[in-house]
Amino acid sequence: MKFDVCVVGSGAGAGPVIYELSKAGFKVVVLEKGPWFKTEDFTKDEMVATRRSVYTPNLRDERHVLVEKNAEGEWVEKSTYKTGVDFWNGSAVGGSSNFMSAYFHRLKPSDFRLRSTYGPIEGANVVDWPISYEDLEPYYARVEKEVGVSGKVVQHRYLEPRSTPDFPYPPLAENHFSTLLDEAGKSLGYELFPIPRGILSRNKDERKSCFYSNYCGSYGCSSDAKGSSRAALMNQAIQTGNCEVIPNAKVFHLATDGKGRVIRADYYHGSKTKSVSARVFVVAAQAVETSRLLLMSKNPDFPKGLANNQGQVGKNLVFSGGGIGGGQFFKEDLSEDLFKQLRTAGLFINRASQQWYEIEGGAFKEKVKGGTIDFISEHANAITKAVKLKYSGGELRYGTPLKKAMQEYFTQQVKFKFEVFVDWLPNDDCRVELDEDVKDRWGDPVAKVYLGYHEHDLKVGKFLAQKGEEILKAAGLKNVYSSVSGGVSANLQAGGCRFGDDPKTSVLDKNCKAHEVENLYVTDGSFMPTGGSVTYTFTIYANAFRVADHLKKVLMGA
Amino acid sequence: MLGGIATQLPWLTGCAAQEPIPSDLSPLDQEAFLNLRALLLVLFPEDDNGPSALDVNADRFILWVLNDSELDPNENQYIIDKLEKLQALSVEEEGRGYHACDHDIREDLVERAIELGWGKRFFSRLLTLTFEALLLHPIYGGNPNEVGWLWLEHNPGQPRATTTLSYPEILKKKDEV
Repeated sequence: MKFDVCVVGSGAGAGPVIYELSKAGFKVVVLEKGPWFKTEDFTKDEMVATRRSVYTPNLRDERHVLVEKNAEGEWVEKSTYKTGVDFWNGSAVGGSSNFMSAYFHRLKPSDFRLRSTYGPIEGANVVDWPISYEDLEPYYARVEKEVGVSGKVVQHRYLEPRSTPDFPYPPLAENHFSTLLDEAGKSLGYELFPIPRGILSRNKDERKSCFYSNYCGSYGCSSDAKGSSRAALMNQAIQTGNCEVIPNAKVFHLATDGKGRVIRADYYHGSKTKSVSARVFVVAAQAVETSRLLLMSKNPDFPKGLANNQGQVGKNLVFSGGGIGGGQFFKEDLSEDLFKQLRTAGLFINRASQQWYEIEGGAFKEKVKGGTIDFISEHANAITKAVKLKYSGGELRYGTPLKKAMQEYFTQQVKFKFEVFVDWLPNDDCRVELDEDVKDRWGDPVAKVYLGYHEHDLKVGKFLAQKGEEILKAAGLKNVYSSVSGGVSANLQAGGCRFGDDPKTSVLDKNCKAHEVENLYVTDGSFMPTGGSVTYTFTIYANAFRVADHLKKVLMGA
Repeated sequence: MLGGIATQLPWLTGCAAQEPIPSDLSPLDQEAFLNLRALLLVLFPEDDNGPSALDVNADRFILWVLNDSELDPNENQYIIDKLEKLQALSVEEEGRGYHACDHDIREDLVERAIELGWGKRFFSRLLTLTFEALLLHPIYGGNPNEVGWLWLEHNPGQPRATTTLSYPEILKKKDEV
């Protein structure tokens, strides 16, 4: 069977395309490398969710090679199989959107013109986007409605222009700590606002409102309240009868006809090799794997990889810069009732500050781009908490002292944290290549990921982390700390196939079609030339809806 | 892709704390298994604060982990090798096997292994596995009667793990084509 559209991947970058085109009557096939877990398969089992490779590939079979600078400034390559540092994020129908925490901040208008607003930074490949905030705004609104975003619009200095007055779903229920944060912000003169979440606070179609079941990030959602691509979009696409999903289908090559068109996706399926033909191919395998697939798809027309005759594929990969911080309340300092309220499981904090989305003065001579501080609960994972208690001052803690520390940590205190998000400046040392020495289970080269960062990111991150500390202290927490580094969060990846108007410096055009290939689109976060200072999923969703609208016109006109 | 004991949970039921030694100790021998149990009681002892490692069946849980072919075989072999090394240290310094020593001597040997440089990571790994036995759902054989959760007042969330959706069963589902 020949399909209208073949989509590689099924996460946030794929879902809107699958949903919109299936609903429009086009025949869509989805090739997803991971298995198809259904809602009823998800439990709050820490073993399955985080202790073993269940939602991600076994590193024995599929790994990455990460390249980082050591303390001496030398680049060092390490296989994730040897280090155990897992760079996968969720390999399943619905992709990593199944396991996201769903913090849904929009980008700001200035994020679309970073270069022209703040000027160049030496050593960073900052460029403006080829589209504006106004181009994407209707699609943010569509995501809020179709995927389902809960929250409350509160005026603050960097609130984005909106075409709708508020979110379609009211805010999720909150922990008492949110009130303490509001009071702390007020006392300091800092603006805090409710974080929009891609989580339903009311039923929507067959999806239920959040169960407040105490686990969210890293876990599949049992109520379908979380707006995963699978629950929010693909299930409806499948109901149209126009969408076929093939799980455990690992695409390894996109073949072209010698005239600049992709004609076939070749994939592994069990022990067999199969192919799919389509009129249009959409790749959304998450940034690193998308670049890898294009680099692997070499042929005489594209000797350096598909859409890579200008050598841009894999370049300017970005993550999210910033850091984390936290602090504690102790039982002995609080009334029994207040301690109990703060420890109530399952309720959300949902407070952020973007007071410093732009920074002027202080350590910065000129106006610079700042970022976002999200305030969060400590994750409920018990084993993760226990593991952190094994060491004290670098020494292994064991025996009765360890048990005492565990008992105190779990029962006598409550911890709250914050995360700082700043731009990860695109640079020449952050990119994807193929590792010709290290192969996956099928004998294909794995992605070699260079993780170079720009020092400017740390400077901005530290500024914001100090503000986060200030707010936590004002809220009454003790042992407040923060940590900012150039380390990456593998789940916050974008770039590698940036879009732009110039085919010499970008892989995709403004509609996310490859400049060099007539019918190849990339709709995951790969298109982003810069990432903004928030998590990416909301913007990936919005952009994929935008590209889906374009594709409908293309397919109808063809 | 699946094989080995990861596809089953053979001692899911009837696994009360400190039962007699299992009949199948593979890949350990009886000496190594007794040493493991003795070592776990140093790392996570019986005291007046919560369950011990053996109260949560950490010894049997670790035996299961050592048979899980989905895990890095080098990492599992590392545990076996270091158990042998601890035994050798005990014989060399005390003239007898590790589990045959008094509890105080076992503690001294743990400190000695840390001083020698090879003990820290080894004991850390065993502690992580002990935490799993303590805090995972009882379907994995540890945490009997939720004793670990109760001790630490831990709320494990809903819906809870089930045998049909446990790690070995989900792994089977993962490979369905």
